[in-house]
Amino acid sequence: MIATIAAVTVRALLSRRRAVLMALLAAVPVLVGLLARIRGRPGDAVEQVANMLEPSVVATLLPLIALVFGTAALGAELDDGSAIHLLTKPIARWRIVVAKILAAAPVTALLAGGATLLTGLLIGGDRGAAGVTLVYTLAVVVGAIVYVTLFVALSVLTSRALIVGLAYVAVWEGMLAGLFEGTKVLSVRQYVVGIVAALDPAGSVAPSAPLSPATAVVGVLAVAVVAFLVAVRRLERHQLSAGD
Amino acid sequence: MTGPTVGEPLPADGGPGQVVAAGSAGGSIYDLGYRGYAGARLGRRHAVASLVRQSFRQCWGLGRPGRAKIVPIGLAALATIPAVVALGVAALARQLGAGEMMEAASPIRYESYYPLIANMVFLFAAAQAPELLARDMRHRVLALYFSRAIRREDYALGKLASIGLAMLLLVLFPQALIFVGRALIAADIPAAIADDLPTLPAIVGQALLTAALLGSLGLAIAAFTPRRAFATAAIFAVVIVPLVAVAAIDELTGGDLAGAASLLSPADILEGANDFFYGRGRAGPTGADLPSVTYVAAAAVMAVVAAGVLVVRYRRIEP
Amino acid sequence: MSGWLGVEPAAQPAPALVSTAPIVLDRASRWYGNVVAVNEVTFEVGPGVTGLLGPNGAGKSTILGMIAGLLPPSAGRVTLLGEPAWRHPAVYRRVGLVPERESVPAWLTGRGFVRYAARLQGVADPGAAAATAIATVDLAAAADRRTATYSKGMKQRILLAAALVHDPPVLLLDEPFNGLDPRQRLHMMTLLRDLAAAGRTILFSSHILEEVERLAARVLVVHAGRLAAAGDFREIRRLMTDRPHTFTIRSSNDRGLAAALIAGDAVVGAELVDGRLAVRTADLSGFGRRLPRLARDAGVSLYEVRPTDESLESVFAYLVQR
Repeated sequence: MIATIAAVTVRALLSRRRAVLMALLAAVPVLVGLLARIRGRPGDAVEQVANMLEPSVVATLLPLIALVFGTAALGAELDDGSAIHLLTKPIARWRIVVAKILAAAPVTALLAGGATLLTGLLIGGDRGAAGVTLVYTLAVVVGAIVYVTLFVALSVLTSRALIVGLAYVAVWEGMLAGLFEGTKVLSVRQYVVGIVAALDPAGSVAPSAPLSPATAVVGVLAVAVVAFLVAVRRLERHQLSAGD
Repeated sequence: MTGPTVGEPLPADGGPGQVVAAGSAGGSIYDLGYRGYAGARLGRRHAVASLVRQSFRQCWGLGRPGRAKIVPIGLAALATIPAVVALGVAALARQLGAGEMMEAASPIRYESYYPLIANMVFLFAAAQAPELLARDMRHRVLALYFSRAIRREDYALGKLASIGLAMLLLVLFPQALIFVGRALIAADIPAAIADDLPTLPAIVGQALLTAALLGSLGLAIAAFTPRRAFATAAIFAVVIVPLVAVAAIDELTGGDLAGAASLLSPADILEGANDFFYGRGRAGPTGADLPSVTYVAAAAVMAVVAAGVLVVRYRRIEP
Repeated sequence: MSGWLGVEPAAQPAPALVSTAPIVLDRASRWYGNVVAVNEVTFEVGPGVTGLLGPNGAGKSTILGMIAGLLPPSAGRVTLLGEPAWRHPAVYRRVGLVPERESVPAWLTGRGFVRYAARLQGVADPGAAAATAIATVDLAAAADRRTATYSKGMKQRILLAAALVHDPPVLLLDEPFNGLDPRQRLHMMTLLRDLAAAGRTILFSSHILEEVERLAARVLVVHAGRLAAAGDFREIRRLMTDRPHTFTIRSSNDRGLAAALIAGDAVVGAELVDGRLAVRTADLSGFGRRLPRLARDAGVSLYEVRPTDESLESVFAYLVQR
């Protein structure tokens, strides 16, 4: 049942326009990596890879792709009314949420993780940065799952999920959580950075200290679980209009 | 089309499609039915002006429920706060006699104002450009527009003018505040004004370029989808992603590639233009070293190209 | 022990409506802030075809929405097959819903959509069930085209197929005839009649009188959120005692008959129109008794006596005016 819904959702997510645009987006860091390959400057490969991947993939590419796919997975149907076909079936709501996450997260992880891997390897794969690249890829995949779960929950909570999610990424994660130490605990970006730092301390280049491994892991689990539960609960109580 | 004007008696024979009178010596029955409008029509210029005024109001959420005002006015507030803070601190410093010191030390100046609020301006363009275009596309109102006096190009350029004006306001208002505030705080008002006057062209020039570039870019992207949120994310991505990419290229490969790439990144272009206006001859990402006037040229070119894309899109769109 | 402490016992609450009908509403209400969309509506729906009739904005869609579990009632109870459908997805195994908006994913084929619905319902052989359902709605020819290419009528029919694919005993349809041309409407009506004949419970909403008149054995009239009347519309007509019945009579001597009827106090009004005699009477049974006698006494032969206001339209117009 979950697999059926997930398969149909993946098909719906990869509409031509969305797929092409997201692929273009993911290609940008890879292109930069290519340029670095051709005309790169010598330097500490690990530092170069980290300085590239952290701001462009972790902080920009990953949340943007997760935002587009995460809010569309369930949100598109809720907004245009076709969710009625899914919700008037004898399927437990948690299964529906799981299926949607299972559709959006792998697509996001594939694009963002793939971009991470390719970019890192292009920049410094043969200069000893393969390890840190793998670490970043893993962290990005974990981040994809968490971001997607968060945005799926957001799409059930509000019809303006994309804008709210964008504000979260741009304003909260972008500006505020960087400024105030206390808020770092509530930022998915910081969890991802924390995971990188835990697995390979040399790979973390954020100006301020990353979260401890424990905090990052707890954060990841807490956000994912809470977001999932919120999504299920709100979906159970979601009201549809019969007409109009 | 001729016809009766107000005050004249109706012609007995009715005229084209007008009154059908069953008259007799004593009285008549007037069958008024549909009456055409034969008075003066205000024409294309007025129509375009109305469009620009209406769209300008839409940019600020006026005429719509409160929720539509949160984003634009919130961003405008955020963009104005540094100005207010700077003025407050300067006034306080004057009171305490430390005016000169404050003047030198203040990080909030005209030349650094644009970089300070750049994010706000990007978000404004990303949020409001789709507001202007998406609704008309989605509800098929374009057919109504195009069957009126305005032409397709008028519609596109009118929308561009309105968001340009809105962003001009966004960027100029806080700086105008600083200007007026500094004049009022100073002991010698005319001297203070004379002091700041030379920077006026720079302020206005940077504001014009910002409004033109981001406005046309935002609209050009928003014109391709009736879904507001998607357009917002796309505009945001087009501004932020190249910015990050250029910084990475700069670090990884050095100046010249980064310089070339920065000419394609709207955010970098505007930074470079800001440097030009405030007297720095050379600008660009740390490694690059381009004459800053190239950024002004790049801004103009990109704005014109984006406006062209917008116009072509609306020439060919199916209403 | 009651009254022991000098306290009067509270009155026992009236027993809840216990019914085994497939659809039961018991004083169900639904409001949005200050606007009351459905106002204390009570009815039951059993097997057969029942029509939910009302002008636009009367609350039909809201009532259907509550029955289908799309929204909860603000007060009262709504049960579907014994349970409230709100937050109870298991009930959908035995219910088919055809919503008004035909939003179907454009890139799916008709067959794909119905098969998907079958899989979501947990039907044993989705392919075969889909084929049967598609054949039932007569869309086999176009089933393998993408739904984006479908006309409105075809989209309605594919939605019906998806609602039938798991052979539910209860069918809920919101304005199913919207946008169908006369031939398609006839086909849909025949289809629904056949489905009901097999014992299913079918409830559909409409604001078009002829559809309800032709198809529904039972009518529920809603107006401004209230249930104005329920039952067979001819019975409802009979119950509207404070409104004179009108008849059209063809006889050998209309004028003479008219005079006799008025003199004999059998009618309250008579009119000669179009070569016929139209009469209004406040006392139906009295009129029935006196008409033959008065006609015989006046020497008039009666060729035709026909009630003229037993259409659903006149019933409806009357109910909606009160």
